[in-house]
Amino acid sequence: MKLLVAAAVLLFLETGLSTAALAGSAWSPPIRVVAIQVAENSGVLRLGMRRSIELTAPFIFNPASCVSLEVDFNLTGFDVPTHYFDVQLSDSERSVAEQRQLLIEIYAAFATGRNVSLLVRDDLCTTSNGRVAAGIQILN
Amino acid sequence: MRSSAIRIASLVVGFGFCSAVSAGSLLSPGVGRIASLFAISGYDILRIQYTTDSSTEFKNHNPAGCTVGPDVFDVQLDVADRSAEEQRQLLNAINLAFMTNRNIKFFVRDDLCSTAGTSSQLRIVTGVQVLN
Repeated sequence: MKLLVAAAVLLFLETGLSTAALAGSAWSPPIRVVAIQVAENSGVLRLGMRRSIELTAPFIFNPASCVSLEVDFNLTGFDVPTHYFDVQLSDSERSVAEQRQLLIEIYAAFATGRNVSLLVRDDLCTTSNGRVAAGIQILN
Repeated sequence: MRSSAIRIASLVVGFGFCSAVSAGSLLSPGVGRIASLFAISGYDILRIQYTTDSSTEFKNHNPAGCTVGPDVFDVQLDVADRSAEEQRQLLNAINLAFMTNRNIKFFVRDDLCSTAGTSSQLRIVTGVQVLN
């Protein structure tokens, strides 16, 4: 039994996931993805957002002080224009598998209507001066 | 068997895109939904049929003035100026929209039509918005 516990602890130490956020990034308050856009030659996956609770915090969350925060998605029943974050489709700091997994989780959150918290870069904006999402936590 | 082979051969002969020029695309003004997807081995397209209850603005969006046969759009799968990841995400987003029956808008080319396997000129999708 003792051996088993020791083995389990060792295994945990070996494979334990880091909880540290990426350097130069911060987690957003809860928001909900209400639109996904892929447009030719833009090089980004654009996420339209809705506040999940009646707070303005997610909308003004802008750690890198990017200039372009809104885009016109024309979503019926929601504020227009819609706030958005971009995921860069070719990111040299991230492996292909890691990038693909991030995108899969974004699709999962959208399809199931979950709230999410996005890891947003605090040192970088996109070339169109939008906020850059580099990670995702899928919430309740 | 033989008639099937002839049909396939005819389709192959009919397959092809108009000559490519520099891309320009316009977002459809209305919203639609996807009724069905066609993917055929050997053809570099994904053909998307939209539902009959899609909005009129969506149905009529035809910036390139294609002749428009059936209620479909084509996505070109072999596009040199689109990155592999961008292409993959475009197809993922289309599949997601289809599986979850979401409203969509398409970015449609304004300078090119598709003639893949048909005598009609079909509209070409270069991007998608999947809405709530």
